[in-house]
Amino acid sequence: MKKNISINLFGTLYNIDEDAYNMLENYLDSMKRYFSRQESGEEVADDIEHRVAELLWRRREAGMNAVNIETVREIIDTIGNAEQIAGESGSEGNSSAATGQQAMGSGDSFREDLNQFVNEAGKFAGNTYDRGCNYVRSRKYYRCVDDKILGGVCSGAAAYFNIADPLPIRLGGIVATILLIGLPLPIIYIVMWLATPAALTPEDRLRQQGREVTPENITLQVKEESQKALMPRGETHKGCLIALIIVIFIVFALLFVGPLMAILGIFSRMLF
Amino acid sequence: MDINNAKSQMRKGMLEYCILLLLKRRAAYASDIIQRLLEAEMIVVEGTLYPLLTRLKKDGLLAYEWQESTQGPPRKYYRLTPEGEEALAQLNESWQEISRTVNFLKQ
Repeated sequence: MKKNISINLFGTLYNIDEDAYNMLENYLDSMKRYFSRQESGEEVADDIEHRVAELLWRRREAGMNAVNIETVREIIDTIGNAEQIAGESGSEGNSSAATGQQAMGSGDSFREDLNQFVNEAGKFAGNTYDRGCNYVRSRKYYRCVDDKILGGVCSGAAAYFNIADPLPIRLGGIVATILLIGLPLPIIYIVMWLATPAALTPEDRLRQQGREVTPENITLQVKEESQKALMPRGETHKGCLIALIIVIFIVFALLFVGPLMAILGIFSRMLF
Repeated sequence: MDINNAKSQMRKGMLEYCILLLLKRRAAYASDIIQRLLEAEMIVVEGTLYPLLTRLKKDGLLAYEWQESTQGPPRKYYRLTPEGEEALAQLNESWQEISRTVNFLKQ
C-alpha cells in the first residue's frame, strides 16, 4: 500500500504515489536549477514541465490509473537529465563563467567587502587546514541554505572547512553561546547571515567546495545534487536544535531586556 | 580520436539546421519535432530540443503561438519567421558546400 497525492499540472489533476511525486519534484527542480544559469532558462524549464504533463496525459489516455515511480522514471529517461541534455545540445554552458561573475558583481559594496573579509580570514584558516587534506584551491564562503536551521551559516562553515556534518559546529556554537553569555556570538551569526551570500546555484556550490566553475563541473554537480536529492536526509536533530535556540533566545531576552528596561527607567527618571 | 565524440559533434552542428528544415515544410508542435528528430536519430533525449527552440526563437528565426489541445496542456505551435527562412537559405548553401567538399574528398 502506498500513500497517494493529488497534483495539478496545468489544470489537470493526477493521482501520484508519494515516492513518484518526490522523484518528479526533484527532477523538475534539478531542471530549473540547471537551466537557471542560461538566458531564458525559465522558459525552457517551463517547456519541460509542459512536456511532462503531455507525457502523463498520454499515459492516462492509455489507461494509466495513478502515476507510479516506474512511470516517472520512464518520463525522465525520455526527456533526459541535465547531463544528457548538456551533452547533446553543445553550445551552452560556455556562458556560465560570465554569469557567475555577474552574480558576484551584483551585490552591494558592503556585502562584497565583508565577503572578502570573511574569505580572507577563511583562507588563512582554510589553508592551514587544507594543507593536510591536499586542497590547493581556495574555497569561498557561502551559506548552505539547503541545509539550514536559521540561515545556514554553520552548515556553510562546515562546507568551507570540508567537514561532512555541520552538527559539531552548531553544537559548538550553541554551547559557546551558553557559556559565554554576553559575548556577541549571536550578533556575529546575524551579521554573517545578512552579509554573506547564500549558495543558490550549482556554480555557487562549486566555488563553495573550491572546485573550478567549468561546464563539466557544473554538469557533474547538478547530477550529484539530483542524486543526493533522491536520498532521504536525517532531519531529526534539527528539531532539537531549534528548540534549544528558542530556549537560549528566551533566556537571553530575560537576562538582557529586564536590566535594560530598568536602566532606561532610571535614565528617563533622571531626565524628566 | 574518440569516434563517438566526433559523431555527436557532427550531430550537434546539424541540429539547428534540421529543426529549421522540419519547420520549413510545415509549422509544428515541439512534440512533433521531437518525434521526427528521434526517428532520424538526431537526438537521444527529448530535453535537448527545448533549449534550442528557445534560442532560435530568441534569435528571431522561429515564432510560436499557444494552442489549446484536446490532448493535455496547451502547446506551443512553432513556425519559421522570414528571418528563419533567410537563415535556412544560407544554411542550405553551406550544406551544399560541405557535401560537395566531402564528396570530393571521398573520390
